Amino acid sequence: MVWVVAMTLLSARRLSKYFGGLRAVDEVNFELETGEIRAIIGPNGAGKTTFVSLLCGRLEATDGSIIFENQDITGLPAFKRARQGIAYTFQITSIYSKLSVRENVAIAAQNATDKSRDAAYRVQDALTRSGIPELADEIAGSLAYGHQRVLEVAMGLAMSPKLLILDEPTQGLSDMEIEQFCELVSDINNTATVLLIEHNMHVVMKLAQRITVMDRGRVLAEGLPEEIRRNDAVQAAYLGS
Amino acid sequence: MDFGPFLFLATLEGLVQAAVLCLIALGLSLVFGVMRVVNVAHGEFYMLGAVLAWWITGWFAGNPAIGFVAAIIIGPLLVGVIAYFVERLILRKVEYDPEATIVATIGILYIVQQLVLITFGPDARPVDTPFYFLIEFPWFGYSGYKLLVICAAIMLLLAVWYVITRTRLGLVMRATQYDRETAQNFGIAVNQVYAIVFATGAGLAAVAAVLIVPIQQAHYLMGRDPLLLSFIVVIIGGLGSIRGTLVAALIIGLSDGIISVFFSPTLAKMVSTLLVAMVLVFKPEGLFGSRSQL
Amino acid sequence: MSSEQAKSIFLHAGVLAGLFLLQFFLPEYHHLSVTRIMLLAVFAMGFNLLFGYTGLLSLGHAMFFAAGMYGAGLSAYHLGWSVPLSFMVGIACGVVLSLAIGLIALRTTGVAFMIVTLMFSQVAYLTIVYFTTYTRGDEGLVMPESARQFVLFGQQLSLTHPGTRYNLALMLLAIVMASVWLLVRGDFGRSLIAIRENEARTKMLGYNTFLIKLKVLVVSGTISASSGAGYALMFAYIGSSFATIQYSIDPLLYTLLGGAGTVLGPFLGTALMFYLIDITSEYTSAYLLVAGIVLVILVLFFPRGLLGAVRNRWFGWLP
Repeated sequence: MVWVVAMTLLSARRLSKYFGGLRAVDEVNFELETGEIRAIIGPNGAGKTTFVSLLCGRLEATDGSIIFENQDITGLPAFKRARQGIAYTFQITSIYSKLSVRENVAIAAQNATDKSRDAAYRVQDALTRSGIPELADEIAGSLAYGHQRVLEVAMGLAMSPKLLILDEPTQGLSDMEIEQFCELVSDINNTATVLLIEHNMHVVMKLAQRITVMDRGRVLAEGLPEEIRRNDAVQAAYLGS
Repeated sequence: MDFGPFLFLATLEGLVQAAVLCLIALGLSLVFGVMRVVNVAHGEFYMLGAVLAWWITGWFAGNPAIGFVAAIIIGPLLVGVIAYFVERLILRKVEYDPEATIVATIGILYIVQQLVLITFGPDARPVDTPFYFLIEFPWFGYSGYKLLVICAAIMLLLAVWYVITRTRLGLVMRATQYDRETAQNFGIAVNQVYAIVFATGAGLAAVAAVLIVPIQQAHYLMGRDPLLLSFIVVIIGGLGSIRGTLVAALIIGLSDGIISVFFSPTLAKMVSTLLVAMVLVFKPEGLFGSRSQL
Repeated sequence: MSSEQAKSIFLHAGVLAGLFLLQFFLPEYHHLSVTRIMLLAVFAMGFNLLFGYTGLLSLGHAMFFAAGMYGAGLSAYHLGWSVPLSFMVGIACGVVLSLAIGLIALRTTGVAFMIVTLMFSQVAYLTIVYFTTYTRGDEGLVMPESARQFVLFGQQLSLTHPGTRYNLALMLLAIVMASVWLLVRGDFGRSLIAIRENEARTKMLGYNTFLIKLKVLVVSGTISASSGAGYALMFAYIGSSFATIQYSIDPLLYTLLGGAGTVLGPFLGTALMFYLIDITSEYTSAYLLVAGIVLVILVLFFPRGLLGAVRNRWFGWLP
């Protein structure tokens, strides 16, 4: 019998980012457990994107520390964090628009953390799991917007990440695309922990096992979806009623 | 001559250099600031101004002042018109893409330079000083014309400053520089502004050339050194910052004049170019300007 | 081996074989021209690795060419070293200079990178002029007789013999072409293109983009230096005019004309431009006018160059 013990994958201690006088992220403490799907919600300007950018190394923290798999990664550049298994997909679609879909995924697969299979296999696997194998030879920039978003995730997937950070992945997608997207994220969760910034509450409630609410650079509340739904402070700050 | 008067003379020479450099660099800086375009052909517009000045003064016999006045009006205007068409026909077509613009302006550099070579030949051409007047200092006499160059440059700089800060055109330019899209949304004809700015930048270089040509001579290769020097000025001053450009031009023009009196000019150029490259790498906002993105 | 790969190998080997055969048919004048073209094409290929594949526009590649030229030329002239040794010194100078320039200049991007490389190259030019005691500046140095003969693999070779020069240049071209071909088709080439297309994204995919750019700059600078070293030794002359801005613009022109980001493009562009200028200079001393016009036309109408246009339209497999 195997006892599944909750293990901390990533934690942040008093993590802060100041832009001049603006405290975009202000002494945030945060813990993420291996295998969970966590959603971060909060009003615009709450510091969500800044916070995850600190985690993946796109921005340098002003203060505080980040621990990933029991190792302090605060000072590591973004590319080293990516190689340790933190994948980030951009809020604004950022793909290689002049290259083919397969080439896009191949670039991502080249630095995968898990290289037990050969590169061609990993590329095909990421394409198949994302449901876009038939688009492999299309030029990425010519894809429909929804498919570009999926390609973003496929690139994340090809890195065989331990933690996949998705920044507003469903923004601008149709209802049907959103449903497919939720299935994809559930599938990814079989092999990776997922951290999701999301505005669509339907997606959040459907996917997230725990929710962190941010407001003005701080963590306002954290808990199970049901607890968050009932939390008065959250209602006031975010749900707008 | 004693050291004191010698330094005074070197300073005067430096001021003339600085004045001309101010005008050239201001043109480059204006174009970069508003359009985010690095104009590698800027030195050729300067050269064109000088050669046109020689050509135009050739029309007038008699008092050289008449020819000079004609040259300083017609020359920069012609250069401005040419630059206007270059902007319209080439830079606009490549949508001001930084890489394409640089390559295109390198092409324009060759075209202008070689056309001048074909049309006016390879010889250095002198232009008569519009007037002879020596100002007598206790130690030496100094050309009154050179002092006029300094004064004229100051007047022109004041005029440009006035246009930028006090007129509607200046406001429109600053708005375009600040945010191209918003300016467009407010009904500013950004394309028109770009063409005018590019023509003005070239015109400023041409004015500087007409002013300097009675002191130096007009030659089809004379554009290269001023181009490099004004690059240096614009980088030290902070790309796109006009105030920084002026301060830097003054310092570099003065020091270039003074240093080359005391040191080997090659060594001076070597060291200064190296230092400037380092400034661009380690302090891209320049030494005097405010931070601006490349 | 995929059929695309076979086609590509066939094409490149074919070009090299064609150049080998060409020497038996060329009249003396063109024999010499093609030797020069092959050497200059090596320079352009080095440049293209940085510009065409990685998207870094250097306006100072003349300094790497000059590093090779003066490294080889000065050691042959002043130290009397043998031709192969001088050639290696030229290449070593290229490695050292490109490493140093890379460590500094790669802190900048975009327009700043272009201007910084331009300025460093200008410093290199002024350095050559300043140390005129050793370099004789613009006037230059003619290689001594001792640097015209050498022994390679037990063969006594003379650089005064046109056939020797031709085949040595062809050998250098073949080595560089094969290296570039291998380099751009592998994982390294993919990472270069990734940086060209979207550097920010590439960082987030786990690439140390600074290190990759540094590596490619060193390879690019070294290839350019090998061209300069070859030029100095084969044509027995070094002079500061080879370090001017003009020689930084030339590889850009060749690459743009032939097609940036293709292996054969720089060679094609060098050959075309060389003959275009050669023919024009018979009629006018203002032959650089052609260079200017070609640059503007390319930027306006053929931003991908000749081979780039061909690849887009017909042959997707062209590397």
